[in-house]
Amino acid sequence: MKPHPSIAAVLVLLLCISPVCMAQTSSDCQEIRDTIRALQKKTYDKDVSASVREINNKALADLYAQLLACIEREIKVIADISTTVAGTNAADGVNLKLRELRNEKATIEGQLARIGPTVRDPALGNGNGAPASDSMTRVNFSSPAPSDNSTTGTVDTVANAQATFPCLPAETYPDAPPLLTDIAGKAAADFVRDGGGVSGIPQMTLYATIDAASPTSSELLRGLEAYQYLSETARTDKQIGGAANSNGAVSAIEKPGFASLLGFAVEHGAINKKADGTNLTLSTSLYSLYVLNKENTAETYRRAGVLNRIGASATFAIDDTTDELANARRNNLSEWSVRARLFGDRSTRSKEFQKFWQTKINPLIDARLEAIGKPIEELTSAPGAPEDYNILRRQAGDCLRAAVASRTADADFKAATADERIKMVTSVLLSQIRSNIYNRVKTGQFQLGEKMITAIETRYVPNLRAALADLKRAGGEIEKKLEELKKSPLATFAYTNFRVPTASDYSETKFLFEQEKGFMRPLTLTGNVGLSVYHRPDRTLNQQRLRDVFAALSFEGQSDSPFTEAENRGKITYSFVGRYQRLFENRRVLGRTADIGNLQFITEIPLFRGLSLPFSVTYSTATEEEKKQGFRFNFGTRLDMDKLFELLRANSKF
Amino acid sequence: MKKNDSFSYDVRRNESIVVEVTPINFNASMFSVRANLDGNNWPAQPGSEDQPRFEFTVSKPVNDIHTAIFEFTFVEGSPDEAFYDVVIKGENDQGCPCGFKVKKTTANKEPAVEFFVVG
Repeated sequence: MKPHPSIAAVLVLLLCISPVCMAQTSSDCQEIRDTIRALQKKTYDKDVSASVREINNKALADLYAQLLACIEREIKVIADISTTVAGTNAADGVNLKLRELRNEKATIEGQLARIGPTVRDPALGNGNGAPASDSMTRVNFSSPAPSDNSTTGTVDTVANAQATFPCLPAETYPDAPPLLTDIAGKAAADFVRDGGGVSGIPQMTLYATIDAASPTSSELLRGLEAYQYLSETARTDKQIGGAANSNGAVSAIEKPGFASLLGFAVEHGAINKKADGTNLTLSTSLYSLYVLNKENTAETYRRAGVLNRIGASATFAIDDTTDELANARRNNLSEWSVRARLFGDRSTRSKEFQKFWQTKINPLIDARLEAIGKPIEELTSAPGAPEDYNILRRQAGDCLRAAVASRTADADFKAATADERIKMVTSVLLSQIRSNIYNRVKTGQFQLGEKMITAIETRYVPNLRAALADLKRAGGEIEKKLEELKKSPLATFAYTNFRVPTASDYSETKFLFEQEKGFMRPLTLTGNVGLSVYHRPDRTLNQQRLRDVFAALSFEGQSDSPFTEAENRGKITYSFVGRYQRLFENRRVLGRTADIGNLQFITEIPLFRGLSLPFSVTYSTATEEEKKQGFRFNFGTRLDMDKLFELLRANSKF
Repeated sequence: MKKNDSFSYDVRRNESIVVEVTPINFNASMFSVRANLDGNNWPAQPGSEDQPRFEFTVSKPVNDIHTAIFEFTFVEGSPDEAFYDVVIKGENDQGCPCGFKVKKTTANKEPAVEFFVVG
């Protein structure tokens, strides 16, 4: 073998870490760091042969172990100082140094874990004189290679790469591109809230690579806005409560939509509770009962079939305001009802919405995933990919995870609030990405090659920009489709059993229909038709089996509210309602009339999220009790506890 | 398969990997999970619509990486308790149960999973 000049340099360095030399250097960590840095430079030399690299790596492993022991001594000393200066102005500076040393220690442990089993003497253990732990060998990238020729030489390749991409000290990344800060912030938030690992490392690596590849690619990347998921916003069509003519009701007409009843019932453990001060309404659905002892999966939902179309509720008069549920007893029961959706489906699981999603939205989501996945693949594995990018990815990821784990062990992290922790972890992620990916590409230590840089500038970033723009447009289409869904025809059959303590109980059957895209567009048409019968007609009160027949028609509209916050999409709603009822027991009774008509105007003005002002004015030709024309006004405030809880949750999320 | 963390696994050549996604508590709300493996669209197995199941066989050489990127969607109106339970299975699994959950409150709804080929 032809002798290589690097051998001489390595031998000199090896000599420096021999026991003779150690005596002079062990007390000074900085000297060891300098030696490591010098040795690492030799590894970057492309002319270095495999045998020299092996010697190099062995030397590095020994140096890392030596440095680790040195740093541990320093940590111990500075930890003592930290305790001494706690509460003084000097504490911040001391703690900062302590943190830096711990980060460095974690980084070196990572290096040792990688190099240890492949090139180090097993007797050296983890560098502290202890055997290598499982957690350290866990991150070892290499494993015994199979007999497949394509995988031979793994140890050499990995060992070389380990030395090529050691964890570098963190460097702040204050001007990181929006896409990178976004994914790092999200990964940090999930890590702090849920633990389990750092998600999104491949995306972070990709964005940092693109940022560093060339001034053009950096500029293009920085022109992209963070991706907004096609996710949850407020939907305001829920309606749960007593029947339209119960005491707490304002409107003379009832809507058929009880789609969300199902959701609420299941969310709250099969039974939903709602109280408005006058009435307590408990509601459930057959599906929520069906799913009680099952996992509420898509398959369960599908198997439930018609059960997810049927809901039930019971309304109780409230006389005990201290314990609402105490009112749920037979004596307080004012009505119970069962409803079944006859036709129409306004849920996002409806066939119509699913078809829309599959044909219009899925291809756009796929395109964005491809716009991210393809560059990652071409950088990592495709023919012509930059050499060792896969190794860089793996090692930078390990450095990043080790640094995050180390940060969480710091006293100030443990004492911090969730928000502060997220900022700390975000900072660690960005600074690690900066030093271990961005700087290496930017300085040319890692060469992407002209072909790859051209691909980044002309394909990868433009593709990503197009995919993001398409998805942004899709967000508007989804909103439009959801609006259409809300306006689709819906018909419900309702049976209500009224219990009247001072009179006769009766049952009401009703057909409810709603059509938003009808002839009165943009007003929504709602219709109710029904009849009620007495269970035991009281002949002395002129009652017969058929109590009444009725019909009601409503036209409802809405407009933007000038009173709400910018992000609150609550709208002013208004409706005109006409209702006719023929109450048979009032026939031939002095002072009463069987024919009762109502005309009503109702409006509700949202003030801020969770609070609105309902108002109604009603003209009646008569009431059930007397033949007297007149106007009636109702106004008050409405608190939407779900929205208020949502706000509270949002504020205390972290 | 050996778990490094929820989003990082060591795998071996020719090993069969399965990612099974179970949407829970979605009730009448639609769920949607899309996936990309190594730069290409990664469709769920036919017939697994209720519980999308993604499969692949480790085909890259040692030291290479299979990268899977997902996007989970919670459409407007989905229950607060809705979440995706993602289970990742290989052969002779170590450190498992493996996988993660994506809730409505999860910030990153496009998690990427790295499968490092180590043998």
